[in-house]
Amino acid sequence: MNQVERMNRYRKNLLKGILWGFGIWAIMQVIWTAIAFNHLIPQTSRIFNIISIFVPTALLASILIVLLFLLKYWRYRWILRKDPQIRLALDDERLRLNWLRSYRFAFFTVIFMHIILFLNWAIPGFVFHKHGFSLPQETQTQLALLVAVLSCVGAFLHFGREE
Amino acid sequence: MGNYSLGNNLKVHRARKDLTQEELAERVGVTRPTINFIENGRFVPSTLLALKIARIFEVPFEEVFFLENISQP
Repeated sequence: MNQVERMNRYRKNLLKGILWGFGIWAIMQVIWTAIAFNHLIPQTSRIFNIISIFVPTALLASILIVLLFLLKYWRYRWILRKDPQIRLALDDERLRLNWLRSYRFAFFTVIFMHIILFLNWAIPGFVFHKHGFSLPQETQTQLALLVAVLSCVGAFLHFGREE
Repeated sequence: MGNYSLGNNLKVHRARKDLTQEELAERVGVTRPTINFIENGRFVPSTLLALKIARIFEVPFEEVFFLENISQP
């Protein structure tokens, strides 16, 4: 296996790591919002106590996973700086096109997500719950960022899948 | 005007030259999956890349890449 192939696989694994990290982060964020702000589980119950310990721990772990993989990704870019030939090969026309397609997919996904959030705000009970679903502003911003990264990285990995 | 796509004989020429996808990718400066995608018709290469590939095989461009009529039954 040559250096380009090795680095290509390494990048794919890094992106998968980033995807997992952001994925867990987004899921935990949604679970926590549903529980803490929308009282889906009574706060006096035993399950709530367990979840209130598990969710923040998982959230912190996912942030650490993301940071670790972002650091590794930065290191990968640093290694590539030394070898322009490999850098060019790893950024070939198909991969550039796949990134562009991924950005477009992420753009429309974020717009779609905001339409759902808007409908949830404008017509309570239309989207999530009969009394509406309360989402704090900072959670909405955080979710938009998470969904953007998740959809972009996920789409890129999907477009690069071989048969 | 019919509906056309870009066909290729990449696999045949690769076998003739005894090149693996990885070796061809290295020689034209792309990743191996890119060659795989071109070979399976899932990616249409730029003119520059197609010409580079034809040059590696030492054959005219049309022998490697050709128009395929996909509207035919």
